[in-house]
Amino acid sequence: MPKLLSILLLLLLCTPFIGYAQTFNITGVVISPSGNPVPGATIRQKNTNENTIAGEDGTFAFQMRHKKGATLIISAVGYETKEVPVPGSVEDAHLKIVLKEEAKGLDDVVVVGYGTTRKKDLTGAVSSVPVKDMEKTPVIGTAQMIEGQVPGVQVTQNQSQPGGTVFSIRIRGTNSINSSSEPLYVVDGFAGADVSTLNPSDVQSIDVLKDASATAIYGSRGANGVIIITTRRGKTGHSVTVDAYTGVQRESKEYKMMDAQQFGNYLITLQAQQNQLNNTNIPAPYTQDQVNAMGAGTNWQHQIFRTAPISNMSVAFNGGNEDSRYYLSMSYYDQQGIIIGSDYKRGIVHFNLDQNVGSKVHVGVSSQTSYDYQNAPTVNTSGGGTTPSVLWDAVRFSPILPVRDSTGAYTYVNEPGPLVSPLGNPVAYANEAQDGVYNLRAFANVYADYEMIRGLHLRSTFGVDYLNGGERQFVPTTLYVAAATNGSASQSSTQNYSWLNENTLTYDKVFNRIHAVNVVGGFTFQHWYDKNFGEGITNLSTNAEGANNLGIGTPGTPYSSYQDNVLASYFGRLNYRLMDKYLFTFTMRADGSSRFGVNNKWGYFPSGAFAWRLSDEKFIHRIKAVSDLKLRTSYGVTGNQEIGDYQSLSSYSTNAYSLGTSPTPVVGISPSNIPNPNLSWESTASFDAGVDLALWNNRVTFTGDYYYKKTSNLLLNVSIPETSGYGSILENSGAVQNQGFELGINTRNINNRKVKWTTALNFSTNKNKVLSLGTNKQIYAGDLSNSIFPSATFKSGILLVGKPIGSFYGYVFDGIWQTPQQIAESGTKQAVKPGDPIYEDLNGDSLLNGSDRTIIGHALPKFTYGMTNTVSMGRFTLNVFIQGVYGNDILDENLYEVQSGSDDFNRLAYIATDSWTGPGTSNTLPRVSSVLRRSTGITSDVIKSGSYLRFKTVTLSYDLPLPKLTTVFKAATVYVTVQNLATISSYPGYDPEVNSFPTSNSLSLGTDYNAYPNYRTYLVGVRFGF
Amino acid sequence: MTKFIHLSGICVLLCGFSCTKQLTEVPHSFLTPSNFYKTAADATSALNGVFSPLQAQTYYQRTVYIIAEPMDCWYPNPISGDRGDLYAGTYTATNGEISNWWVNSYKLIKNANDVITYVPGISMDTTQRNNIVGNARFLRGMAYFDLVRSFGDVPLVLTPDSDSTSLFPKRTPTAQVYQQILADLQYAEANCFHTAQITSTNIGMISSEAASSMMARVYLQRSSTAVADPADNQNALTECNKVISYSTANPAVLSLVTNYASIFNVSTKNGPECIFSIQFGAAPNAVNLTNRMFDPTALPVYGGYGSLIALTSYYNSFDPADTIRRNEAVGTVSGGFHWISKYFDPGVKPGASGRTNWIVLRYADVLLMQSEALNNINPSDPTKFNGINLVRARAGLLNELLDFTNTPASSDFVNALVNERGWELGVEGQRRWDLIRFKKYQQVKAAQGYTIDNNHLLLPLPQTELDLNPNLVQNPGY
Repeated sequence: MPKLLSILLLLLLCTPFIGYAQTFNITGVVISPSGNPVPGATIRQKNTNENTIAGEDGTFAFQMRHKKGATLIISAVGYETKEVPVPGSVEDAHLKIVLKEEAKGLDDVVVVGYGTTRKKDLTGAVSSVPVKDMEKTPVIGTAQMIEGQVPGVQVTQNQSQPGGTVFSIRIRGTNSINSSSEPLYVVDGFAGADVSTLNPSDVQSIDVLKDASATAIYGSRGANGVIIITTRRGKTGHSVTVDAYTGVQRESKEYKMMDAQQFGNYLITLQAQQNQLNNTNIPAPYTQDQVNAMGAGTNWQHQIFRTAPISNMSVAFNGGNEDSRYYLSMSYYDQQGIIIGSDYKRGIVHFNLDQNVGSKVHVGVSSQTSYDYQNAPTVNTSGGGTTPSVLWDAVRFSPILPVRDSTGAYTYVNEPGPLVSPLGNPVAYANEAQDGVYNLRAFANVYADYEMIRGLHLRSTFGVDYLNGGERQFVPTTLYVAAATNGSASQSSTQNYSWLNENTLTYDKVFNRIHAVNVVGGFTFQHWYDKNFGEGITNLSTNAEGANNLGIGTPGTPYSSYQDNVLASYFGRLNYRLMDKYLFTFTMRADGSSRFGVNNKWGYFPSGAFAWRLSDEKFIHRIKAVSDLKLRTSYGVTGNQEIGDYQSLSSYSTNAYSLGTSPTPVVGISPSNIPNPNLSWESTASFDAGVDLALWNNRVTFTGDYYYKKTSNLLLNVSIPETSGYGSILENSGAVQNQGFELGINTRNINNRKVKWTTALNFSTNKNKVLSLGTNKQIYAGDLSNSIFPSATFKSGILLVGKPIGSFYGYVFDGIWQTPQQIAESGTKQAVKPGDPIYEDLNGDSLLNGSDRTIIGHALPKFTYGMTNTVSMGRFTLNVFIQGVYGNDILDENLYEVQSGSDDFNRLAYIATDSWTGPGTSNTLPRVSSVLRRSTGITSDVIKSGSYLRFKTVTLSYDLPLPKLTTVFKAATVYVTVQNLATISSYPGYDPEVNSFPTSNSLSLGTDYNAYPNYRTYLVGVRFGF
Repeated sequence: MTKFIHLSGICVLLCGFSCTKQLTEVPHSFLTPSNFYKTAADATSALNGVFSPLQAQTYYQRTVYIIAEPMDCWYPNPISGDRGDLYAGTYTATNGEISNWWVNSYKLIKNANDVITYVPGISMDTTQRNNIVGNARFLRGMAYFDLVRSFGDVPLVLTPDSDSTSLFPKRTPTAQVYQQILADLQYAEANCFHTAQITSTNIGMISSEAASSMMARVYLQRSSTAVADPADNQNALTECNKVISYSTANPAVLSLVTNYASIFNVSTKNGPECIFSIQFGAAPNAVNLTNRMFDPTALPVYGGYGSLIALTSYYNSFDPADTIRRNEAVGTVSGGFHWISKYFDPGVKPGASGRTNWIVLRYADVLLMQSEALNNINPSDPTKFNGINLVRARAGLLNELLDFTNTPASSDFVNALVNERGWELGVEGQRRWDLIRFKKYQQVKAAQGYTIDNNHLLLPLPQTELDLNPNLVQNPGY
């Protein structure tokens, strides 16, 4: 009330002057704490629209009408916003405004193994995923949060089945040949945790540890890099966040196959050519009149693709007081697949608690329970015969046949044989067969932290990660694929769990203000258990019970297994900071693993790193443009213990035979390997040199690293002569190197009150090279479809010393044989006819055989990149995320069937018109009756460029003007998102981001056969805070 | 601080105690040498493990006839790739089926060596134990016989892997391999149960008669090679006669069945004609895809792969009166082609793998071998007609029996045997070896337009094996 009075008084006093419009000149300079000017700072008068921008020297001039009680708001990129009251005197004023550097950035806390550190104190190569920037772009899983966001990390979505989406993550290249090259995940301190059902909304931070300095603390699990995920924890006060989106998905591409009439004509041509070749006179399955009456027929892809809904709902409660804080979230995710019969549902409850017990003891828990259920549509299979593939069979099925006949019954099988190979009706399969996969996961990690003396913390954790999963499969008797088995049903279940106890002591102390020491030491013990069971039946007496009653058919042999392994470790790390400028880190871990052979139970993994904060040296400090500069280097040795359980032991494995008048299975037991008591971890020695640079008050930040890694003692199945009865022996021999550069650049391009535009760019190269394969001259590696090559003795690729992993190995395509004369003149002893493809006889012996193969492609990209642009204008924010890879090849096995290679199925529409039909008609597409490509094996005409640039996510969001709505909301955003908006690529298949055989080992790379295709998603969502 | 030292000291000690023990791996769901070969049941399981590889597609479920049968009965469709090369005689060292043949033979040998080495140490009934070892030695002998007639000199591995065995063996001369085969079979003959002693639950195991029959086969094959022993034919005859006299005494378990078709009928398999067969059955037994390999694709009856198609010339070669065997061998007609029908299993759904056994030895073969041995020993011995005529009579050719009038010369008799074996034993895994033994292989292939040089009478060693083992030398001509 007195305020009101005084204002009234003031107004009265001023009345005579109204109309004169007096203004005051306020001038000033904006500087940083170190005295450097802050150019571009915005100076605005509070509660008005009046503003100005500071010049290059930090100075500004501001005119204001009402000075009394006025306040200026000064903001600048990289600095904390400051409010400055205008002095009350009536004169013009000159202000000197000192802005504090924003805590964000250099003082950001980065989670490293067994501790945290300020980003400015880091000595190793650690990248943080900008989780906060992603809040408005919905992602389904953690791997997706990382894709394209961090230099040196390549994320590949191998296939896109809802719930079964498989990502592979390579941090600084592929280190291993037979063991996993996937990084170690640490969730809330629990190493080796499963991240497949983490809700992205629950994730507070993701830090990627890349070099040995950072990962050596994880010893024998550090070689492939470490991804540390921290979930949200409670904060004081109370808030509720609601996050929801819904939308639809649609296939982004489809194969243009022949329609019924085209396929009918094609079969007539094919039969005529075959008759000519084989000197037969078999009539075509359809007459020309029949074909002419066919029309378009069935587009089978349209029969299995659909517009599929997707939605997600998360609610998080957050709150507490100084002594007790909680974070509780619940989420439900429901996605239908773009292929009929596929869907995925997931529910998660996440609960974190932090509790103070007195002033010295803190206890808490991180926990999550989730259940997910996936209906798998049987897509990613080899396809054909009795192993159907819904997608691929739809591509290949004859368009002449209807989905259902006139009686409404499903078309049973692809016809007409033998010209067209039999396939079951994919629509019938998708609708009638079942394949359900469920997982119940529970994770809990409790901690207690006791500050024994000031700076000395004893911390103990105990955690469990538990998975109970299973699968139920059912194929009813009515389907073609059940012809052999008369229906089948099976159930399997998996029970995996591990428990982990970690005990660490941490000591933090600064001596004499110039020596800062952080020491951590501890030991951990982790035990994994893995139990499986499964049983299947055939010959179902009824289809009514699905896979729920295994008593209704003939039981097969049940299987079960039980494995466990143990890792016991001691570790220590010393961080030493001298004058805040010279940073040293030394790390050591000793790992004892039950997996290692008796002669090699313990492995030791040391590392050291040094960083120099140049920007804190006076001679750099003077350069005003440089706001931060740090040089880092590290060297260390890490390991990979993912060599499997019991590999060093001699074992007898179970097989079977049949005996008896009425044959009965009997159990056989046979020796299955040659033991190796020396078996040990794979060892990676890595060097890293990096620079962190920030310019113009962090307007531009730059991180660059060069690394060189040499992995030796690679676990290899060293081939031995088959005369031993064993194909190979497991040995630690072989070596591979990875080296590369990686860059991360963040810029604030425009930063004013109206428009804010930031760009985050990352770019990575990696060159892989095999250095040694032990005694092997070469190793053939890389899985192939066993449908296309049923008894293949060859592989998709080769490992050769001096060449990179992922080298495709096969025959070089060189056009089409045009005339008999050309064949005769070439002198080839190969049985070819005009219209067959030419494969180069590299060794010139006129034969075409295994020795004419060479490296015909590379599955590893030359570089990968990602770029995020965020533009905010007023309440609108546009976020565009582009991501891509360049320079890799894909082995497109699909072409063996949809293009050329066998006579069996429907083909791409252009095959009917563009294939070779006589001399000069085509030099790229063989005669339709030529089977040579497929019978030859891997050929360069199916190797395609895998480079792509993808508009991965485009999001437009709008912040609602809250006070006008209601006071309940603290924040409210609505957004629309398109994922996979556009992909620029020359790849002929569904999607270039693919790998059909990712799980067998690290060496099946860039192979496409019948993967669940990537899709485009349109979403609308809201995010409310209360 | 003291507290801290105490605490950490305790922690370190605790872990130190537990770790050494915890780091020892304890297998839960498989066996190791420390807990195997203890009981009679272990011996039985180990022997089953020797039989087990025989059921593989890449061995006696498919590869056996891809290697031995693309001669004059059927051809692969298309005539290209591994199968086409084996048909046209253009096989090379990279042929996948040849590699399968090599790899699985040695896999079986590895399992057999384990049994032969370790089972004798088990304390159990001696007769049973010797029977088990005899079974394993039969199978090892059979595998080496397959190898030696395929590749010639082959590495002879007779013990399980140990520090003292070389992983890189040299090729052992053919003569020595044959000696080992015969030693194994002699042991089997002496120690395996006689046919009648094999209990109904053990049908499928090796009998003493199987060993005798296999020995006859081995002697006959060796007699045609450069390492022939002068007594080979006499020994073959002796072994055949052992089996024949056992048959005379035990016709219920070993004899020429009257109904030829019943040999291949699933419901009457393992009948008295069968001496040794690889066992298949309906699930949960291993099923046999041989029917699908030979069946046409046409539905609703067949639903096979249509991969291997009968030669019209084979169909036409049958005596018009020989309808029983012709119908059984090439009775199927579909899409204008004849198809091999011995393995058709009408009891399973179209497109399903069948339950038929793969017959390795049967009594008709013994009779034919007896005739062959007799002719080799003394072409003028009239008893040489007995065996072959029994077989012909059973096929309904009572009016077309052989004698010196219609088959005067020894070469005529050989031709008659070649043909008879083709009709009687066609597509039973004998043809390549028969044709090579009778020196007819090149002639048969020449008639089909394929030139086979002498080098191709032996298969090439797999290239992968040569690459891995510097002590191996490839056969000439490859």
